[in-house]
Amino acid sequence: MKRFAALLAAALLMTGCGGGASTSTPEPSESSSPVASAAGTEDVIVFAAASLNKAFPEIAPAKYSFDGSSGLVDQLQGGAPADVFASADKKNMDRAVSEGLIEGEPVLFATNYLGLVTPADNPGEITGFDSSLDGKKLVICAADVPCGAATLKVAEANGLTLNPVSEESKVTDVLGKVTAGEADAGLVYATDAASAGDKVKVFDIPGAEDDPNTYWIASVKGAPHAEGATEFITLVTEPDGAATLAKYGFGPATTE
Amino acid sequence: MNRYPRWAWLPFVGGLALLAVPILGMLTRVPWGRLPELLISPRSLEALRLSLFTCLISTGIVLILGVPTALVLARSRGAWTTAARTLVTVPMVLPPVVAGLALLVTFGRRGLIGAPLSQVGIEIGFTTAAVILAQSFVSLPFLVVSLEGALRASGGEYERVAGNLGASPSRVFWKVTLPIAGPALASGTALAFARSLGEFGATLTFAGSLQGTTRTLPLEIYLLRESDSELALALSLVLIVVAILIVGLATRLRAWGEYV
Amino acid sequence: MSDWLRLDVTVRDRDLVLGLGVAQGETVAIVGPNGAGKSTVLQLVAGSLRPDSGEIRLGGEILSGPDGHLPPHRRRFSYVEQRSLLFPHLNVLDNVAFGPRSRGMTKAEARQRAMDELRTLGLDDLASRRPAALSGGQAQRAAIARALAIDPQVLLLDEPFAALDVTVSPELRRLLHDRLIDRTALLVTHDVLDVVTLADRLVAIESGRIVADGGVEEIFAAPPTQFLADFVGINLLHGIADTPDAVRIGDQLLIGTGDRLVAGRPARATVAPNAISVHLEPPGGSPRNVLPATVTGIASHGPIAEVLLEVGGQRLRAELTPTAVSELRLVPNQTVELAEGSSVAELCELLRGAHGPEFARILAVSAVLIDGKRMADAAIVPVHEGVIIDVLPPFAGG
Repeated sequence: MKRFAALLAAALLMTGCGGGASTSTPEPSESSSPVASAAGTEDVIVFAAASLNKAFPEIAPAKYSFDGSSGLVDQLQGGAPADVFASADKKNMDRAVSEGLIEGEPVLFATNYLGLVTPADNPGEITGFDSSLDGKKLVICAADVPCGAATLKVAEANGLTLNPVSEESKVTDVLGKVTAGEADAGLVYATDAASAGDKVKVFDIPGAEDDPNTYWIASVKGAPHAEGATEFITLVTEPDGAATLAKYGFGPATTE
Repeated sequence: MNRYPRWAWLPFVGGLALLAVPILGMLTRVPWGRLPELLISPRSLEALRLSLFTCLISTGIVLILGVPTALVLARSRGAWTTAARTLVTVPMVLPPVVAGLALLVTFGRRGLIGAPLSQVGIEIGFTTAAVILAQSFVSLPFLVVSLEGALRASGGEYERVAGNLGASPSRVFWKVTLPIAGPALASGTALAFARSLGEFGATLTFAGSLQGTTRTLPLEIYLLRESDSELALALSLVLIVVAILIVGLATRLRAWGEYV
Repeated sequence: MSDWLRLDVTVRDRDLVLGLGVAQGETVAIVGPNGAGKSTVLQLVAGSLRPDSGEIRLGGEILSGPDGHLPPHRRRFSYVEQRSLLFPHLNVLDNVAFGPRSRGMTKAEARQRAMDELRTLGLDDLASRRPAALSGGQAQRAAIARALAIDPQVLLLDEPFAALDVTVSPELRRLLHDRLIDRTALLVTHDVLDVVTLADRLVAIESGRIVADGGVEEIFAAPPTQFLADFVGINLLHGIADTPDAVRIGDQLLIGTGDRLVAGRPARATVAPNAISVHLEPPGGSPRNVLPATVTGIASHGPIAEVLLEVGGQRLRAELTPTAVSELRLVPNQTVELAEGSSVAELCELLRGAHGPEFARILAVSAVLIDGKRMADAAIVPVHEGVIIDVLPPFAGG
């Protein structure tokens, strides 16, 4: 009977971490020492939006988990251990705050705005974010995700009705379809366009820079490495960090 | 006295918990009160309709291609059959995203087959056909493998008897081979259908995601995670229920086959 | 009789080279050691195997030859094997109707034909059963019905009773015997009773070659190879059925277990050599079968003494213990060697000279064996110049 009670407890424990286990993102596997050294960020667990996957490791070493902002909030909610959360939009950071997952005030550290990309040879003969997109294979983000919401905004601002052949849930999937030549054009962030290099041709979208996507960073409540988390955030927001972010296509940390 | 050691209960309970607790945990999060309203929303209905439509067609394709494939494999000997059998099994263990990539470089607009097709105006990418292609690709092995096992077990003796009695090879196939392999065929079909229904990676990589055209239930759930987790959970529930039904059906058919 | 079915074939990878002819209406038993090629012959006839060279003809038509090969479903042969192999998804009626239906009958006609066949074999009550719900004997009967329902030009039987319980095989043998009258059949078997009961002719195959081919009586009387000698082992008496359970051999009547013999038809009786015992004194009890016999020879094979007898002009071999033989004074003191190398006549003359005229009044007593089971002992009565054997043998019409 006693043994059964122990098993039940084990089962309940499993339920507790079920939210984290059911997501596809690999969690940092090493268990780190509870006291982080003040000078290092190596042990800091950073949950960051997927678009930051090149810039962040260059700014500071840490244990990274890159995924969609919304999915990361789900994981935090499920009890996944993390020290820093960096969101690719305000909405998800607000959600994390309202769920009580965040310690202190989130900080705006970068912006990102949409651009139009075509395959390097531009098979659809796209001339820009205009009527040349009509009847072409256009891939955008779904309205459910931040880049999709931004896409709708710029389309409206430019008086365009978009007829996409696919609405992806990740901006990287949009980029992938363009670089593979499946799509004639796609709307991605400047950072994504920058990462694709000369595999794509980039067109500016009028007005996109006026309403950029904002990137927010904050410490997670109950962070196992609280000091390291603060240090990490400092590194990101310092001029050196900003310069690295800019290198990867991010805009400055201003809303206007 | 039990025919297994007592300690086997410990891993048994552990294993069961590992499998059941996440599903039960999910059930606790499903918004039961809003369930009907969520499920009849246009988004869910559209995803459900597309999923059923594509799965039925891909299962049909899998049957048409898979049954003769299984028969040939089961009745052939030699090195080439081993190679063919391996080939058939590979997509089963392939990560879905790899399957999608393979399809993309083959049937994509710049793919091996896709490029010439594109020249004559046939484009598969971003169409419902791409979804069906992806589903067929990943689910065909399930049918072939389970059916081949059954056909191999029956050993071709009944076919030989039927031939001696005067049945032409086609008649033997329809009247003897298929009915005898019936239970395995049914459970293999159920498995293939279930695999098609759950197909995600290859579709996402290869077909894209557009409501009503390529956004099947799993893709919709994946996307809704970002915006409407309640609806995502409600649709997940639909998939779980369908999965339970299919697995139950397959088990029952298998048991019935043993009885016969 | 001229050959109706004729094989002149070689199959290289099974090292089979043979020429075999079968007359219409004839039942030919094929025996031989395992792997000798018996089943290969059936596969060749059925068409599931194509000869490397040579021809298979049926009534002048070439079934397999250098220029063509008729696939199994275009031939009209049916196959009954050790396992009934009834289609598990069809009931008995539809199993039997499968052949006629496949050969162009309408569904109703085929079912009618199947029902007729089932009735003949006493299976009509089981028509709607699934094979899984049949006993082994019933299933094999249904398999025979299914084979017969296509009116096969040749019925191919591959050890049809080998998997059956000994209590059901005699009944099935009798049933098949009735259905084989005027049919052409090839029967591969390891069971001497199958040969005795069903066959007209015996063909022995060893290492892919025919080593004996002749009438059953002929080969049983003088098995030409060691395999056949071992295979035969058993005594065979043939006569004419007198009543459903008695066979007349010469002017003696032999009562046995094989019921339903047709009076006036030829019949056979088998007597196991170890079922016969021989006495000089009249036996007690009231034996059912009392046959006078003459001792024609004695030989010793280690622990067993073989006594050769003659009953109504037919040869019988009895196996006795050397003690029993010496008690009977069948063998002179330490003169076992005498039997070796001596002709039967010489031996008899020697024995008569050594033991006086009573030696000729030898009585044989046999025990009764039914399918290898000892049922009752029987006795011997003294008769001038012979022995009397008592047997209750399994009979077969022939």
